[in-house]
Amino acid sequence: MAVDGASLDIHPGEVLAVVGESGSGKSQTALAVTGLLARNGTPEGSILWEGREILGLPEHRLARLRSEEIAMIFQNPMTCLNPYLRISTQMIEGMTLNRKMTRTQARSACIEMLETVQIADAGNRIDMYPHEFSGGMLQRIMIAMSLLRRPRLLIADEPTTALDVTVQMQIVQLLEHIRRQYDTAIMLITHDLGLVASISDRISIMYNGQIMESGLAENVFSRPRHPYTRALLDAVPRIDQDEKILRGIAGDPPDPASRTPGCPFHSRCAYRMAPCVEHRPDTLGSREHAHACHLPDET
Amino acid sequence: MTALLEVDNVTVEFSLRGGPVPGSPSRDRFAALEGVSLELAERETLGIVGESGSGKTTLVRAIVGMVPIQKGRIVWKGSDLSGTDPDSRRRIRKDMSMIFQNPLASLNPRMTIGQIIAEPCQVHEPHASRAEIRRRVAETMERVGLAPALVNRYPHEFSGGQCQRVGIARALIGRPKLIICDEPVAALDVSIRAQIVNLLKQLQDEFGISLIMISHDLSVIRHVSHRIMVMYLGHVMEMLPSGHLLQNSCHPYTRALIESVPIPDPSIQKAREMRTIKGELPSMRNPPSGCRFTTRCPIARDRCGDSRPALLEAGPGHWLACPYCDPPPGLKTG
Repeated sequence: MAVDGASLDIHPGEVLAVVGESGSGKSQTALAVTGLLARNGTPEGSILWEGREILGLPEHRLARLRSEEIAMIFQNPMTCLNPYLRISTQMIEGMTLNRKMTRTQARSACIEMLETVQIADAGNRIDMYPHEFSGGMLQRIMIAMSLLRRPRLLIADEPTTALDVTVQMQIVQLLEHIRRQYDTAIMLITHDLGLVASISDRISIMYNGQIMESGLAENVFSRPRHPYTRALLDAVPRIDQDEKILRGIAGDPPDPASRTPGCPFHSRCAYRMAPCVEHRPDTLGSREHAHACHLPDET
Repeated sequence: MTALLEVDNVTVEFSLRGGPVPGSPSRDRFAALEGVSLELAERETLGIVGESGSGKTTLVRAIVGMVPIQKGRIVWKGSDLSGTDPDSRRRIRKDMSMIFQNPLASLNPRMTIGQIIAEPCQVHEPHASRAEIRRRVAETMERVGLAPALVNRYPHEFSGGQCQRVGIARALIGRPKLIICDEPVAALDVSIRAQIVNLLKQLQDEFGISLIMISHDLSVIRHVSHRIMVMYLGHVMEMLPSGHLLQNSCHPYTRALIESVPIPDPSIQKAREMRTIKGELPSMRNPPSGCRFTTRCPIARDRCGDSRPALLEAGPGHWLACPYCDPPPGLKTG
């Protein structure tokens, strides 16, 4: 089980960050939402889109949802584009397929969107090939492409991880701008706590397929309740602080294929008690702040 | 005290058709590294930061002799490496080792952990007995936090963090004087990064090793290094003690890098004014003339394109290649 009983919700115009290390199930959660799980993946539970169940919808309905309402961008923009085709061909394809638009109309809509994501000289560059752009430019193009159909939800899976630091911030600012301009909800999947702090309204912290803590970004960062969240924050060096010792988390993340009846973090947790091994803790709290831990709440 | 390592005005050029070209007179070449100098003392950690294409990896490859240099000198404990014969070069090379970014990719999947860790010993000390090597492999594994019982396992059986420990053990077994770490934690999970960073610091204290640490992540570099060197397109922009980075660094590129690092605390981060620098790194094949940062610099003037600004001492241990930025706050007079 890659994801086990994870619940989350996202409102229009909201940025929800799903944070976790590799194998924590954050990407699988997003793929389940879009119905893009691999063939051996079977989602259970319920996924409501604007109040309606979309889990188990026939493929053509899901395809329509993905083309018009939910868009997704990935970590490595280079591998998402066909290297043999011009940007224009790849962008216009979707427009003429889904809307009754002429090629000329679609082309000018694409150029306009490229300008929105700050590609200079978009009128000429739209006819270039992917290899003629840098990584940051390609990620802008991917964002432009995903926005063409004015999605209500943009799922961004590690959108800045493959980019240089100075370019990462440019992309963060672009996402923020898009959320404001189009009221697009953004589900940001990442391991980068700095990125999360820059842009998200709410956070869900995942570990081994389960949500350990969730809530408003300010609450989770300033009053972390779950030992995993605290340990994670202690493990990250901060540019604005002169801490001398970084505290790593002993041990390795568990294998996603294995499952314990108790809390998935218990083997690495400094506060482990007897029930942690046996029973999975309930998630307690509200949308503003909730966590799943047997430890009595101190906050 | 003589420096352990001295890099003096080194230039590395590559041919545009690929591969390094020592001494070829053709003009279709570009300099991945141009006129770079540094000194490294014993037990010191030097952090090198810069974006991809800044020349940081080329620099360390030149130091260990993996790419030939076109100009300048690399001096190891007072002797010029380019002048030495292959035999003594190999002897010196034993004192340096490297750790790479992708821990799994840098380990041979067909060798056991024990064979991987033992290999440097077998190369550099051909007369060491098997028993001796076995003993040292077990000892080194213990030092880096790997159970010696795992000696016959293969790399795919290990997690990323454990693979990086194997890489460290391999680098450590020859008792080097210098370990060069090229993005040692970039590919690791957050919770594992701190383990590896702490291990490197602990081994440095224990064995008195010097470290050169390459990263694009300024917060990690600042945490582990004594001094920091900031590179951009093959030139050094600024070099200073890491404790002075936040207060005293003044090169516009260094400041841009600092401002690009998000602080994992939304109450601080969201209030920060993020002045991102425009554009991306220009191509190394056709770099801007003069100061290489000109095209993206917020304070660039016409004259910046005329000639390369010299790296001048701006304060104790602080070297700066920008004549127009504000002086470090600590040094303002009157």
